[in-house]
Amino acid sequence: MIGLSARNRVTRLLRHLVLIAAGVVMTVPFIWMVSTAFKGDGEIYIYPPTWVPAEIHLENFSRAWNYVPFGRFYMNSIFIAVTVTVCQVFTAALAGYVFARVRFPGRDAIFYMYVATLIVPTQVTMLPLFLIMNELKWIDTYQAMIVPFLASAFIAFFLRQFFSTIPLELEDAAKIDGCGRTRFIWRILLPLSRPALASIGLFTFLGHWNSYIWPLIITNTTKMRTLPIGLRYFVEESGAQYNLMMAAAMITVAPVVALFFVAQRQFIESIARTGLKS
Amino acid sequence: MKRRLWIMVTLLVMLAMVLSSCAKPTPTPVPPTAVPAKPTAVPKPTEPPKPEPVTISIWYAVGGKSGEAFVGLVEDFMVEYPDITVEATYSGNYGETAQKTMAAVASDTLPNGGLIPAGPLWTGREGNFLIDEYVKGPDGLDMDDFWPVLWTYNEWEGKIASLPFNNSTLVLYYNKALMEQAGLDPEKPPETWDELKSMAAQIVEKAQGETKVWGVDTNSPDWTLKYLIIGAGGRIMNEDSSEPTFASEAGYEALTWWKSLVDEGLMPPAQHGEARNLFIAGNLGFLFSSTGSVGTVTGGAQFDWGTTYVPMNERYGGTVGGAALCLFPSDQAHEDATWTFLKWMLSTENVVRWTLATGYVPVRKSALEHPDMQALFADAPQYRAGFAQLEYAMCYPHFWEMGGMDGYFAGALENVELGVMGPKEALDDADAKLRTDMTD
Amino acid sequence: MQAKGKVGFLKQLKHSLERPLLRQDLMAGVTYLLPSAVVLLAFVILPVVMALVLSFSKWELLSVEGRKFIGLGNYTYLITNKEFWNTIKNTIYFGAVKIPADIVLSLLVAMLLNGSIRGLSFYRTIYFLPVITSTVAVSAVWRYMYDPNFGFANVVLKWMGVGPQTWLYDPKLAMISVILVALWKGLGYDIIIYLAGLQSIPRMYYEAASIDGANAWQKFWKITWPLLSPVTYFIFVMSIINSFKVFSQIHVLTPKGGPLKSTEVMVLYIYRTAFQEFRFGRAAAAAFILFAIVMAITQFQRRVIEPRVHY
Repeated sequence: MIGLSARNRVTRLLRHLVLIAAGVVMTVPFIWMVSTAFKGDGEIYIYPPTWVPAEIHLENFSRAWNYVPFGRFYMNSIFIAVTVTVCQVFTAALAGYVFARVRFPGRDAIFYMYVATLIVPTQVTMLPLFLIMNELKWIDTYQAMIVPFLASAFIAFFLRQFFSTIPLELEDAAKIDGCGRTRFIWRILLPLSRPALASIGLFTFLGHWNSYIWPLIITNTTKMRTLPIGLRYFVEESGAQYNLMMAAAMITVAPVVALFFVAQRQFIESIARTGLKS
Repeated sequence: MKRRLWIMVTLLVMLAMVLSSCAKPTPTPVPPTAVPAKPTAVPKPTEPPKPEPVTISIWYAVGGKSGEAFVGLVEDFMVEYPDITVEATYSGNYGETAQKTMAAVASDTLPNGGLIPAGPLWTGREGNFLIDEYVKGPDGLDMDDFWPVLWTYNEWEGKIASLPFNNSTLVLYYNKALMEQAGLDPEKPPETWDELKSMAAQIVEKAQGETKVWGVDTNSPDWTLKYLIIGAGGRIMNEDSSEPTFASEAGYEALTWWKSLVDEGLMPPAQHGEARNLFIAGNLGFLFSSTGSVGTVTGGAQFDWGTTYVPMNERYGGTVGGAALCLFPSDQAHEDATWTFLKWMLSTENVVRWTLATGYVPVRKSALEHPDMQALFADAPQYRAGFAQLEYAMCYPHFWEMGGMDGYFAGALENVELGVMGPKEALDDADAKLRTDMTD
Repeated sequence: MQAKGKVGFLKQLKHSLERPLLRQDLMAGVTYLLPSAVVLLAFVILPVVMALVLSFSKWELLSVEGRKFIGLGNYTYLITNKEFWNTIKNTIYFGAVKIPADIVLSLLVAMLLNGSIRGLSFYRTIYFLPVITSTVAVSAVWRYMYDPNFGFANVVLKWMGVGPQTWLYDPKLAMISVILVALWKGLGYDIIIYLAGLQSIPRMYYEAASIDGANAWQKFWKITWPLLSPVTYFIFVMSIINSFKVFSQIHVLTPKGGPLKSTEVMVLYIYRTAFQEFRFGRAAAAAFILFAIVMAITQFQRRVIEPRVHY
């Protein structure tokens, strides 16, 4: 008995050791980023590199911030990601409701068309989409980054699955009470689906917040860039000034990381749930 | 229920309206073909005598310190000309700006002007010779005060299609401290390929089998190759840029010599993206780089250094580099305002200022006599080599496939340095690819 | 058959229109579907059709005469083109190294985290951090880590007694370096999914196996692995699809496709062809080849692998 518990303790210790080692691997790039972001211009060329900056250069952040308009990038990213998320969830909720609840001829055919659009990789559609935007004179505009993404077949599909789990009787009862369809959706269905909406909303928001190839293609001017694109140009432009580059990277990741620490359970659940369902 | 539906529809419509109004948060660049752009913030359009405020959009393809200097000039211009608002946008490095400009030509979303690489391809090739008219017009420029080679650089089919502004030559940067350590005279930089190689060999420092200090490198591989080919007596293109001529004996010789730098451990193979950092950190003896790097090196290097001509073999010489100031068609008011801006940028004063801030060559000869420039030469002789080298500079007229050619040059160097291809094979391959592009 | 279906549909439609309740359903259904259907039609379905047309055309942005129908010209160009095959090879290499490593590592960590362990939420947070941070930002950090002269990666090698490497500049190492970043970035996601899978396995299975005298190794192969196979299958399918679409991190780490094009994956090639060379027709054909490969793999998985997965 005693031998067994000693063995248990050893395995537990080993488990922690492996987990800590993995944790170090996961965090070292972040520590490296933070450490470099505070270093002076000369210190980044010291080899082997130092972990603790010899002097703290807080001005790196203002230098990076002023080098390119990060404030503007933030506003663009927030505006686009929020608008797209709200609209997608809204249009998809309506569609998901129809697919789950409303019967009419041709509905299933339409449903399969929605599902079929999920198979198409964006790499196929982005080329003609660029030409369409060109025809519409929408290159380098907010419309180009919002309008094509106002609907999502994936979310419609996801919400259809969720709505199907809500008992039919509920809607019937509501109908008997004189509650119309629209009212049922707003007053009963959507409030009941709040956890699902929050999950898919967060998932969608993160997706569009990090969206890369489309804004890269479609924006021309600094003022239209989103955060990832702005940072990417900054990386190219600042060249070797690693301290500024890391300060800019920190500026970029800080809010999402902060949000993550505040609401990590929701984050993890949202991603695990929506990910698994897809 | 119906009312609810109406509310929803109304909401959707409102959302759409919000979206379309959000789309234009600030005055967007005026599309070139647009009707006289509505002045964005003009209260009274009824007072004609004063020139109406105009907003012009300008792209610029220079980053870092040069980008800051460009923006500084723009700000001063607006102080001097309060009626003209210049919206300056960094459009990415040369390659990216070229892509964006090409897309803008196709979609008619060009800015009013800009500092754009391969200028004539976006102006002259599109039949736009506005610059030619303005330069030679009543409010023009003194063309004789500019280096002739720079006019050739900005020509399209014999007419002026863009303006020189941030031109540069390639020079050799040398670390005096390392030369001294190696027992070399830091005031006598190499003049020929052989001297460069032997000095580099003396500078290379190894510790535990790993090279700590390298001899030579470049951060513009394709441009360096052009200098070497010309330095070996070759040419890049024929007279009218209709046929490539670089795959020649001179070309093979240049590339063979370059490869020997790698083979003898003087240059890290195919890591040119690191070269300038390496030099600034003091771990590289000689760096081929644009005169435009002087500012960056000055800001970073903690040691004594100098610049000199690119070492020669048969002769000195190389190609001019840099972007060009362009003017794109819109309406009279915007074109005039843009010309006012471009001309202002090219005043001797501002050319001097630009040169001092960036290290690009002064495009006007009168700039050399300017007291500030004289002071600079006394203070920082590193600037002199690049300017003086203009005397030997050549250029081939722009041609459509030139961007592709630079890519093939970089690819040829990569293949040779990594030992995948021999010098002849690599250059012949680049030649074949360029010819395919040119006939396609 | 089809005509009959059509008649049936029309009959149903008529039927619906005649009954007030059914008509209400039809109207509501159409109204609610309208916003999303319009967007999907205009920005997904129409572009797919256009892309198909493009892929059979010579279409270059700045030359009007270049826009003409050339049949399979783009496809024959691509399948006889060395550069294009190289991008397919690189893409497969990326997936073939990354996916197995990812499955092994994430399952291992998830198993270590499973069961009563102190600090679970702490570990989970740490592993998940790379997942939520911006790809561009972390790629910038790794680009610096890989700097051959001043980066951290070579310091680590030195500790391990290995000589310095040039990482993203080395044709043999560049793709591996990129894969390491992808692994690091995505591991936390798969750990969470595996952990959820592990937690749904009833403890009594293991207890029963213990009574039968099974050791840990046997328990893993007889219980854990088969019961997790739906999760593994899910991760596998998603990873394959995603590895064919990998772009942003490679574009930040090696914008030009790496030394000797050793990191130029298919999407990078499509991007370069379309938006740097402006050959939209050729790029569309390449995109359809990508599409076809992804479809073929998913079909293969559905037909051959899925039936073997234990649910």
